[in-house]
Amino acid sequence: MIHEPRFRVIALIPVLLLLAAAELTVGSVSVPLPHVWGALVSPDTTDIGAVLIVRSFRLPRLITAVAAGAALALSGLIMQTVFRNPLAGPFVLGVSSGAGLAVALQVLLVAGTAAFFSPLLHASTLVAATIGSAATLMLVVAVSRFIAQPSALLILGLLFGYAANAVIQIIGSRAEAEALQRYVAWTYGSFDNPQTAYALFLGALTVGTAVVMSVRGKRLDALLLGKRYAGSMGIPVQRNRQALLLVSGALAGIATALCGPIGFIGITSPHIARAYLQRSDHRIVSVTTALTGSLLAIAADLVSHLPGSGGIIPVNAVTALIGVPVVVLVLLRSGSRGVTV
Amino acid sequence: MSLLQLTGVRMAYGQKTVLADVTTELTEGELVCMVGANGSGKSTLLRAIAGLQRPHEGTIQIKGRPLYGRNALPASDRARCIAVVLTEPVRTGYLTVRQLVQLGRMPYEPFRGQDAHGRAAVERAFTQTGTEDLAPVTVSTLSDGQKQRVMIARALAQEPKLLLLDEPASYLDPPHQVDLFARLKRLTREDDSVSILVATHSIELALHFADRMWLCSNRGMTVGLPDEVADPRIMEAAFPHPDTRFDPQMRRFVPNND
Repeated sequence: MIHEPRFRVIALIPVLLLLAAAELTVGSVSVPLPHVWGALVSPDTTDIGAVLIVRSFRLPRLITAVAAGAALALSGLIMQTVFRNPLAGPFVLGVSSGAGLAVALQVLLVAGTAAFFSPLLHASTLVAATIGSAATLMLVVAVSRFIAQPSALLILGLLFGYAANAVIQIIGSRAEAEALQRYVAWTYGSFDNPQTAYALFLGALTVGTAVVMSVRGKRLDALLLGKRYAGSMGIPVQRNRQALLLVSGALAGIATALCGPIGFIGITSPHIARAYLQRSDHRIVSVTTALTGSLLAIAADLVSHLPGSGGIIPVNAVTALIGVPVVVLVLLRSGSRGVTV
Repeated sequence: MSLLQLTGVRMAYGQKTVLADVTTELTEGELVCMVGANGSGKSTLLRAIAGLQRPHEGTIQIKGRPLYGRNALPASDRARCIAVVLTEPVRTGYLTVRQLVQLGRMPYEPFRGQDAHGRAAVERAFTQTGTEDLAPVTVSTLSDGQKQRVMIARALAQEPKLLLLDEPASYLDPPHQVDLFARLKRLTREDDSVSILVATHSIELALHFADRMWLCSNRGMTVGLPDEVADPRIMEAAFPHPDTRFDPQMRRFVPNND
């Protein structure tokens, strides 16, 4: 019995590998699996076209999807635990929009409108995105003190998102047509990211966060009881919440800088992980949530690149179609027997 | 020996003072019941004693160490000394009762798993609250009364010297209320005894089981033995209501025209 949840976590790894193989194989041009393998291990002796497609396009996209999916999922888990709100997530709380706004401002101030949402990122963009999402989170924290109803937090986040998007559009209106087009494409969300180094950095940050959250899982479980109970058990609640939200903001912010505001992975992954394990203790839920996020991201990217669709479906359209039913389920359940995290 | 000392404590929300000039103490091994009308500051004082809400004035000391200000007892040490059960709802998703009760061991083992002593403390907490059978159950499927007992078990797993309970009987049926108070009384009489402060509206039970009574009202706090405070003048001063009176024989409030 004790080993069963652990078995369930391990069972996700072959699924992840399978989806990863599909991600490298399937697309507008189908690369057979032996060629994919060849491109990865012995590029010199493999068909040059296959090597180019796999190494330059699909592998970076895979790495970005795995890292960003896991990052958004963990970010959502942290928010749900800290706010004790099952409806919290980086997209619905307006954090992705806050990151986007900071990126837009940074690009405008530093590089001018010509570089507005340029496909090439700079390290300063990641910093801006982190600051933007963390600032939005702090704003949500400040206002959420006066809010009792969990669903009100969601409305608040949506309003923050609208406000941030309005400012982005005002900035964008002064940009050149081509830059504006890039901005619109950015809002669709995409794991096409030419800078794998940043995705690897995000992946490392995510793995580190998942490890710390697992090791200190009991402390996070205690936070589920609320500030007062956690405080009565000697936990420095304020400090822990701030540190957690900063990490959550960094994960969501960097993922947003790389991929655009990807919706629903952050809010749904923790719910899917908890329901799959039938557990809520962070020691095991944290890693599972990260894996779930990666799985969802690759799956969404696969659907968006399905051959025969005559183009690329925006990732956000796919994640919304997966995510909305999950959120509706959570809402329905919270109506009948109390909101659960 | 004195475990808890309150000196000139005033609790307020902004300009509004809810409880003022509280100077009293709680002796080791005592079961103290705190009663008072709605809004008399019972819960507020309880949170202050738990170290969760700083008083506007006065000092609160546990074993001679202040809970607030300079030289305050560090939160981690306080957590090994004081445990609370509050009225706020607990929503813990898929956490089992055992996982919840084990959280009480947080102050002793923030990183590592449980040692033999910790496991024994958790098992004892189950026995003391009569919740052994609930251990494998998911908390969210429990009734409100069961949740209250489980939260008391979690607090006891913390092995506190002082256990603070806010309305622990509010969701319990009458037999379970009596059973709860009897268990609390027994706890304070065991060898490595714990002292207990209960904020409650169950005046009859409080008068029956308490070693000492704290009566809160906006005019301050009255402290006395149950037999001393079971007096119409004292009780009616603490619970002013034009249409009721305190019946000293029945030891409860009755309508005036009864």
